[in-house]
Amino acid sequence: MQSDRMMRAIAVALLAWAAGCETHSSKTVDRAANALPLESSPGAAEQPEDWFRDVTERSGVRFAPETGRDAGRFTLLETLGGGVAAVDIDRDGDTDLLLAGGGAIDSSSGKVTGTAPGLFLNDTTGRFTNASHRLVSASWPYSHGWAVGDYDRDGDDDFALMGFESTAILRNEDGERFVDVSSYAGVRSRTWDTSGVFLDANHDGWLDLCVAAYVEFDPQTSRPCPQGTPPQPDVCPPQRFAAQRDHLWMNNGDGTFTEVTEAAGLLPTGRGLGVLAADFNGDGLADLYVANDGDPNHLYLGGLEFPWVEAGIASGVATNEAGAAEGSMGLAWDDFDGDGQADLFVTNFELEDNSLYRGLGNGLFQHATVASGLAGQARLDVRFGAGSVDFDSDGWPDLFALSGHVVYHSPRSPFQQRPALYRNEAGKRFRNVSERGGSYFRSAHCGRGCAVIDLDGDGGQDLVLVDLVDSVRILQGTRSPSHWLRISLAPQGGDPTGIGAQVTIPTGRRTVQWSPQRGAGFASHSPCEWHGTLLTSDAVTVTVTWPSRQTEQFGPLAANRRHHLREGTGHVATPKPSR
Amino acid sequence: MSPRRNLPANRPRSHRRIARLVIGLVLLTGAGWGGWEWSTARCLARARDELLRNPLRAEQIAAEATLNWSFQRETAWIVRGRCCLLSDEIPEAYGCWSNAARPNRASQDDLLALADAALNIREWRLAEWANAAAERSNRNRRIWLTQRLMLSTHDQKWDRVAIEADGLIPLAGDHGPTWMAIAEAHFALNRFPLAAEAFRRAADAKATALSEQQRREMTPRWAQLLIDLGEFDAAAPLVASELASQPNDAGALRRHATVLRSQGNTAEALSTIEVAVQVAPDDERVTVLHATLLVDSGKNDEAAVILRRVIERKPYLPEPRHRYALLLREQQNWEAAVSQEQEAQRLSQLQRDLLNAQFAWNTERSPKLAAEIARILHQLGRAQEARMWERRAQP
Repeated sequence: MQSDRMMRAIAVALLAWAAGCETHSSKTVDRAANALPLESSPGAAEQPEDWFRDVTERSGVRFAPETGRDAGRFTLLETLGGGVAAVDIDRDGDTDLLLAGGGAIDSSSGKVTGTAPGLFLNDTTGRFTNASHRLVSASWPYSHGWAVGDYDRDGDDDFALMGFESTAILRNEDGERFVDVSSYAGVRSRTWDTSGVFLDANHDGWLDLCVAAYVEFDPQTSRPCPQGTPPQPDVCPPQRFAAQRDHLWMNNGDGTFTEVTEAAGLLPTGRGLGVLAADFNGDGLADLYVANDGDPNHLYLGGLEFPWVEAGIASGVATNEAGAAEGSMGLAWDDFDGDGQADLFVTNFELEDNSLYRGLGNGLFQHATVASGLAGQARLDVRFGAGSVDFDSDGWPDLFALSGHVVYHSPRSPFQQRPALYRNEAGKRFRNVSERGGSYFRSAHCGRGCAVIDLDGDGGQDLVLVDLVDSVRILQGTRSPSHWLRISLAPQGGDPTGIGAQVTIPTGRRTVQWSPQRGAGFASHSPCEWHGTLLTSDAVTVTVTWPSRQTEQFGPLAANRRHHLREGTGHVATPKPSR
Repeated sequence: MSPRRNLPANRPRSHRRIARLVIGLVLLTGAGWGGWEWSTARCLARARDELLRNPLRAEQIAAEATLNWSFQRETAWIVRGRCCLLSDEIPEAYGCWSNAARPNRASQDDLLALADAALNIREWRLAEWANAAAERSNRNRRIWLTQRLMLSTHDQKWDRVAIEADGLIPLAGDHGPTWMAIAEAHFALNRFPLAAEAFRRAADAKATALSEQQRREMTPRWAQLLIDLGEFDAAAPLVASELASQPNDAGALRRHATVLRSQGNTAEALSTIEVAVQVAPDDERVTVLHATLLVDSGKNDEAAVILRRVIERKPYLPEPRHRYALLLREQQNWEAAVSQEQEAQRLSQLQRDLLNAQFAWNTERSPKLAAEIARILHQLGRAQEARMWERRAQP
C-alpha cells in the first residue's frame, strides 16, 4: 500500500516535471514565433544591377573616426560624427580625401581630446595612400566638419576643421604639408563648431569663414538621460542645452581673421548642424543657409554690406509644411524639377520627413516634400548626410540620404539604419530605389558625413561615406554615363568659389541650369563643380552669367573632360537682364 | 375566564414591545431596502443618462448584458457599485463588487468576463478590481495578463507596460485581442513600428479573431499610425475598409485624402476632403487639409477664406497661420505674411513646450509642473483648460 502510494507520488512528480518541460519548450518556440522584427536585415551580396559597388578594401582607405562612445558616458558629443573633404589637395588632377578624426572622451573625468584627421592621396585610379603624417598640429580638436577654400589666395585649397570648442585652420603648403595656423590666423573658437563653409561674405575677394555652432555642452559635467522602457542610460536630447550662436570670421587678407558675428547679424538662436552657401535669391551674391537641430532653419541673405538679413521664414525654408521646426542636419542643392530654379533638400530627425524646398525664384521657396513623393520616406530614420547627383545617368539629379540614430535605445528605430536612395523620375517625383543601391544601401549603418565625387575618373559619380561607428566606406558608381562633362568656375570678381554665378548647359536631353554651392552633405565638402550626363559625344556650348552679371559663352566644350571656365576668357554673350 | 387573563401582568406589555420591535425592524428594513433600491434606481438612471450621451452606447448596453449574464443574481450589487463610482464613492463601489463576487459565488472565468465587460465600457476601476480578484492561473493566464496590460496602459504605468507587453508577446499566439492590447501598449510607449506590427498581428489573428467592435475601434488607429509612419500604401486598404463600413466618417475621409495626396492624386484627394468638410465643418484637421489641397489645386483664394475662418475660431493653432502666411506671401503682402508667420512660430514653440510639459506630467505630477502647463495654456489663449490646470497646481 505504501509502495503503491510512493509509486503514485513518483508518477505524479514525473508527470509534473514532464509537463513543466513541455511548457518551457513551447514557450521558447512561441517566443521565437512571435518576436517582432527589431533590426534591419543584413544587406545581401552585390548584384549586377546595383547602382553602387563597395570598393573600400580595394581603395586602400582604412579610417574610422573616434567618437569617445567607448567611455560609456553617453554624451551628446559622441553622437554627431564627422565628415569628409573631397578635394585635389596635391593638385595632380584627381580628388584626395581628408577625414575628420573625431576624438576621445575620458571615461572618468569626461575630458575631451582630439584625434588626428586622416589624409588619403589618390593615385588617379581610385587607389589611395595614407598621407596623414602631412597634417601638422600641436593639438587637434575633437573634430566634425570640413570647410575648403583658398583663403590665402596662393592658388591651393586650405582647410578649416570644425570641432568641439575649437576650429583649426590648416594652411596648405604647396600640397606637401598642411599646418595648423589657427593661432596666427586668430581663429579662437570656444563654441561647439559642427560644420562650416568658406565664402566671400563682405565681397572683398577674400574668403571668409562661416561656422555653425551647436549647443552649450560640458562633457565633464554631463550626465546620461534615461531612454526606453525600462529606462537605460542614454544620450540627452539637444533641447536640454542652450543654443550657441554661429560665427563669421572675416578674412583680413593677411592670413588672419577677425570675428564679425555680431556685425553680420547672425542670430543667437538655433542649434546649428549644417551650413550651405549658395545664391538663394539670384542676386549674384552668396547667401548662407544654416540647418538647425529642432529650431527654425536660418537663411541669411548676403547683401553688399552687413548686417545680413535673416529671411528663413519669409523665404519658406525655415520649417516644414505645417510650419513646425525640425531637427535638420544634411543639405543638398540642385534643380531637381528642371524649372531653372535651384531647390534645397534638407534631411531631418525621426518622425519628420526630409524637406524638399522647391525654388520659385526671387528667393522664395515652396515646401514640396509631398508633391515630390518624398513624404513618409524613411520617416522613422534619423537622417544626416545627403547628396544629389545623376547616379543613373538619365540626366536628372537623384538623391541619397544617410541615416543612423543619435540615441542608443530609441523606442522607435534602431541605432543603425539603412541609407536611402531616391531616383528622380524626370523632375516629377522621387522613387525609393534603395534596394538597387548595392549592398551598402541594403544594410544598416550609422551614416554621417559624405562626399560625391568621381574618384576613379570614369565619368561616374562615386560616394565617400563616413560612419559613426564603422570605418569610412567608398562606393563606386556602376552606371557611369558614356558621355559626361565636368565644369568648374573661376570668376574674376565676387565670390572666388563661383557662388552667385548661373550656368546654362545644354545636355542634349534638356537644358540644365547650375547654381554653384558649398557645404552640401553633412560636415563635408565635395568639389564645387557641375558633373553631369550628356546625351551624345558632341561638344556643347555653355553660357555662364558671372556674379559680376557679365554673361559669357564657352565652347564648344568637348565631352568626357573637365573644363575650368575663367571669367573673361569666353565669348561675351548678350547681357542677361538682371534678376 | 379567558386564559389570557391568567398571563403574568407584564406579558401583554412585553408582547406588544416585541411586536413593536418586529414591526419597527420590518419598517426599518423596508425603508432601508426601499432607500437602497431608490438610490440604486436613481444612480442607474444617471448611468443610463451617461450612456445616452456616450457614443459607445450600443457597445455599453451589450456589455451590460454580459454583466447581467455573468452575474445574474448579483446584478444589483454591480449596478450599485457602478453608481457608487459615478458618485465618486470608490470604497463603496469596491465593497459592492466584493459582495457581487464573493469567492463562493464567482468563478475566475466570471471575474475575467466581468473585467472584459468592464474594459469594453471603459470602467477601468471595475475592470481593475475584477482582474485583480481573478486569481492568476495558467488556464486563463493570457486573458488575465492581457487585461492587466490594458489596465497598466490606461494608468500610464510605463515601466510595467513595457515589461508586461514584452512578456505577453510569447503568449499572444493567434489571439487577436491580446495583440491589440500589445499594440496599444507599444503605441503608448512610442514604439510605433512595433505597434504597427502588433496591430497587423491582431487583424490577422484567426484562432481568436477580433470582434467586429474591436476591429472597428482598431482600424482607424492602425490606419492613422501607418500614415504617421509614412506608410501610405499600407494604410490605403485600411482606410478603404473604414470607408466601406462608414462612408461618411470624417476621420476616415481625412485619412483617405491624406493617402491620396501623398500618392500625387490631388484631384481625388480634394473631392474626398470636400465630403469630409460637409460632415465635420468644425474639425480643424479636416478644414486645414481642405485648404492645403485647395492650394495644391491652385485655388488660393478659396483656401485663404477657409484658413481665415480657422484662425478666427482657433487662434492658438500655428499651422493654419503658417499656411495663411504662405498665401499672403504669394500675394506679396509681406507685412501681413511676416506677422502671421511670427505668430505661428510663437504658437508653435508654445505647442512644443506644452507637449514637453505634458509628457513630463506623465512621470512627475507636481504642482509646479501643473502651474507650468497652466501658464503655457494661458499664453496659447486656452483659458478654460488653463484654469483646470491651475486647480491642479494648488497644493
